[in-house]
Amino acid sequence: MSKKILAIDDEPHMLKLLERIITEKTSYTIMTLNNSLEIENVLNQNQFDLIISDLKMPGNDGLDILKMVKEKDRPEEVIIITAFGSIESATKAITMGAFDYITKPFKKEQIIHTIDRAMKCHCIKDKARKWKEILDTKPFSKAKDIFEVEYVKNMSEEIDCLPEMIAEETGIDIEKINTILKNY
Amino acid sequence: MKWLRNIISRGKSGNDTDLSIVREKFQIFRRLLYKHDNIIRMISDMEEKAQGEYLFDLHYIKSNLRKIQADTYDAIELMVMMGGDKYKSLEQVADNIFSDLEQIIPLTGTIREGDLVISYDKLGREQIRSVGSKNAQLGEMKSKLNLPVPEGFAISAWAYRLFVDSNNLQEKITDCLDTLNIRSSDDLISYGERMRGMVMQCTVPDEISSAILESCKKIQDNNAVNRFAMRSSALGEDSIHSFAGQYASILNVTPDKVIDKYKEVIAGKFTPQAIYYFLSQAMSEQKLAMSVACVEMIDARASGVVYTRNPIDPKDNGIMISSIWGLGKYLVDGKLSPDTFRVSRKEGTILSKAVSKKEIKLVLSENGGTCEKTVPIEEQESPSLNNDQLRELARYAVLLEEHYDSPQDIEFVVNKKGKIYLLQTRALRIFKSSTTNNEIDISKLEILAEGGVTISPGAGSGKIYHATSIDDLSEMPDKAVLVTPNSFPGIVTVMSRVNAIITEIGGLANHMATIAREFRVPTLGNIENIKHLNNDDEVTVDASKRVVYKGVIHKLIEARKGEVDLFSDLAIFEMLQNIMKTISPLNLLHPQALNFRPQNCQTIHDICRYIHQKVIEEMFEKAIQFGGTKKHGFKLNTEMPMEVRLIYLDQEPSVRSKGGYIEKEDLSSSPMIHFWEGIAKEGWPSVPLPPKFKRVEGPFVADGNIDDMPKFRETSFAILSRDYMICNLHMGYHFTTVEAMCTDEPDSNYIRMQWGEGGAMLEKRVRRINLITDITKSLGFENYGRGDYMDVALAYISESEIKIKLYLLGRLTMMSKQLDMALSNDEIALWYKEDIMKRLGIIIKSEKK
Repeated sequence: MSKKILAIDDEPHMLKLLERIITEKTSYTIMTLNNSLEIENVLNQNQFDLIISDLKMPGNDGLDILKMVKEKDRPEEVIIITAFGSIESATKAITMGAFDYITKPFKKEQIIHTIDRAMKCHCIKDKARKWKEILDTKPFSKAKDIFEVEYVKNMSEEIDCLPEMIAEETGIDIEKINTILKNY
Repeated sequence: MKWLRNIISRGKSGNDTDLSIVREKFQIFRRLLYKHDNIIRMISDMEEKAQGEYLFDLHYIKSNLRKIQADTYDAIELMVMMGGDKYKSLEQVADNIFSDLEQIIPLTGTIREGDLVISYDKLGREQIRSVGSKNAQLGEMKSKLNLPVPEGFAISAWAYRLFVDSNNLQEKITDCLDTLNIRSSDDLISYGERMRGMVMQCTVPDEISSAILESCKKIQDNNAVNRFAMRSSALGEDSIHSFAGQYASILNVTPDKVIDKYKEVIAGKFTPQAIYYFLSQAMSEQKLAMSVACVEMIDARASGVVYTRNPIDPKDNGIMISSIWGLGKYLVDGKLSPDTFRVSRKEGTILSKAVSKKEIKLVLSENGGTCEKTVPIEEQESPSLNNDQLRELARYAVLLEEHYDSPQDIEFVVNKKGKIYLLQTRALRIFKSSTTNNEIDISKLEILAEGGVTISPGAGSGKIYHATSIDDLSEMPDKAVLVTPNSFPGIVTVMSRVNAIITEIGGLANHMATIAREFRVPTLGNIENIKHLNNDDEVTVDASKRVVYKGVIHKLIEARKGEVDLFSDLAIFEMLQNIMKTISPLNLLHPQALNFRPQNCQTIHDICRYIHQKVIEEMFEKAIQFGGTKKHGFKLNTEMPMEVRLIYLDQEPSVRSKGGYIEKEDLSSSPMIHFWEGIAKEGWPSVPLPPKFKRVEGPFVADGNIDDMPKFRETSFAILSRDYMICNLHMGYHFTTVEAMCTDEPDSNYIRMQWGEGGAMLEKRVRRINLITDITKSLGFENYGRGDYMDVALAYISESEIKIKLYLLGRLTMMSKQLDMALSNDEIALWYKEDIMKRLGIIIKSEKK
């Protein structure tokens, strides 16, 4: 499934540029938000992999949004876009848990590279969180079930193999594999 | 040469400038160079951003422009302080340029107070901020280009502001816009209706209505006109956003209905498609003040659109003309497939002609408004324009494109007598995204339909969704392939939700086509046999190659994606590029060219260039005046038999030895250090002789009577700062002046060297000047002098290069001292030239080859 990005900026021209570059140059999908006051609603209704937010905006600014994400322990990585001269606030954003900041104007490659790094980081964190969940699950039989699901999903993703092949390799029941892949 | 003598004689006539004044001028000079560098730096930064590699926002553009504006006016003020009121005219030049910029990007954003109505005879494109683009261009065509434009007048943006204020409308509108959800078709329809209702309930203030009626009356009386067309000409419309067809045009209005229809045009700002367009393009509604065009209604035999270029193929050099019978609405709304013609730019030859079947036409009703009529069968398939009309239109097209210096989208009408009138011209957006040539194997793909016209290139896939009007669109799923019998205005409201569009009727020149290209939605038009495509069928539309395939073919979509100009069609990029056209090109190139005058500065870069040249000249003049008239400063301690006095502008020099001498180690002026190093390296010269030539009289004796020679300073001098030098060396019968700025900022750096006079006959002196000029040319200098006077300059190079060049100039100065005496023929001159170049380590071009 395509990874999702939310971009927030009070200046829609920047949103258009971000939308264009992400649509044309990456495999991610993007949703844009011009009014930062709507952020709470949008976050309540959606989950993203990455949020790209301008630092200075009327209503909620970039730091407010970052705080919102971190306080609610949401999974999104946050990249802050700043104007030249707001480096102090940008550094503050990093200490508050932003993935990175990028100073306007910036090169196409720079934003794509930063997004890719954030996505990789998000992916690793996501996996780590899942492992932690499995390790914390009791009793063992339930943990084993979850593990099997993850194992099958991973296998199908990485080698693109048929359910029968997975069954043969893992010894997991074929019907169970089909159910897992169907729900995936 | 003459001017230099004037300067010197002025100095001698007792009009001396004292050191404090020179120092003050030097400070102004430095500040001005600093401003100049800032402006150049900001312009080049913006140039870089306009290349498509960067993402930036409006704030970036505006803040840079404001800084450029402030620095430009500061630089002009400093220039006046430096050289006097003769430079004041630069202010007007800057005013004009910034007023042009204001049209592209309102730095102030206010509506200017002005006349409520303005006749086209008195309008030009410079009034775009008062009357909107449509009106301003109609005025420009009529009053400046003398083109056939119907009689008419503009109802200004200022009138709109009065209308809104007197009815307290703004707050109510803003409330509605803040509440509606742009992604909801229902919201766009219902809020749009509510806002239009609010406008229609308002009263047009008396002063506006009487001004409008009075103007109508004038046109009626003078031209026997009794019907008008009222069209939107909103501020911002046709600028970086096309707004094609988003606003209202009301045709065939009787004089008694003009005021009511004025309100209707204003209300047209709030149609669902117009709201969607300005909100999606991120424009402030308040800035889109609605000026209105009120023009004589032309009873159309035929109407159409001229594209001065092919909007989807910039390489196509033909002029594209589309036309239909009757009024143009059916063409621009996409209701009819028009006749299309390609006409050559130069000779007006008809390159191709595709006549379509035009069964219906829109005509004027007797009681006002319009009605549809069937076209007589014998006319249905005959061309709606004749060859003469096509050629006439092509002529207008070329003229307008040249006048505006960009491709144009022109609307026209032909009246019953066959006379052409132009109704509108605006910039035509060229689809710059090149489709890649990555061909994929299509042999196994199932074709569902093919043919038609590429309206917007690219490929997109999704589920088929049929719609015939805006009412059908609310149910449309996201990422659909929209199929319609013809274009209709509401399609714009789903532009960001569709992956492709197919229309049975319609060509390249309708409003929907323009918007589809703007939104980069692959669109195929005028294609038959698509009724069998059922809702929910998954298809891929290859608009570039005009084929509809079964299923979703990702590889095809990827292959059609543009690889270059990722951003160039986006509004903000177009805006920056237009801004750069106003500030960046350099038109003033040569300081001695006739056009090197303030009034010929067309861009900010020109102003900078002019000021840079002039401030250097002014500084030079002040310094020479000062240095040449009194024995100021300290003597340089040198072994050479010449006295050089040093005057410091920004420091107290270190004087170590008795008698007020400055050692060359203590020069503390970067340019002087390197120049003097070159001089010291050569030492006091003795001119080498060419081996195969007989020795002439020696030592060299001046030709003619020495008393007749103009006497320059008896003492040489140098005026110095840490990074500046003007050094005037009096060496026998000639003078050398070298001026240089040597900083870590290449934009500030320059060297100028002047050389004149001498003891020999003119012929020999000219030989020497030619010899030195040739050598300096090979060092990258350009000569601005003439005859026996050399004035070479080099600018914008790095600090290290400046130092090397100064060192070489120092050496060259000594090598060529009194050389003129020896240059009795060209052969000897050539030998010396090559000898000097060899000694200086300069590669001779012919040898290089």
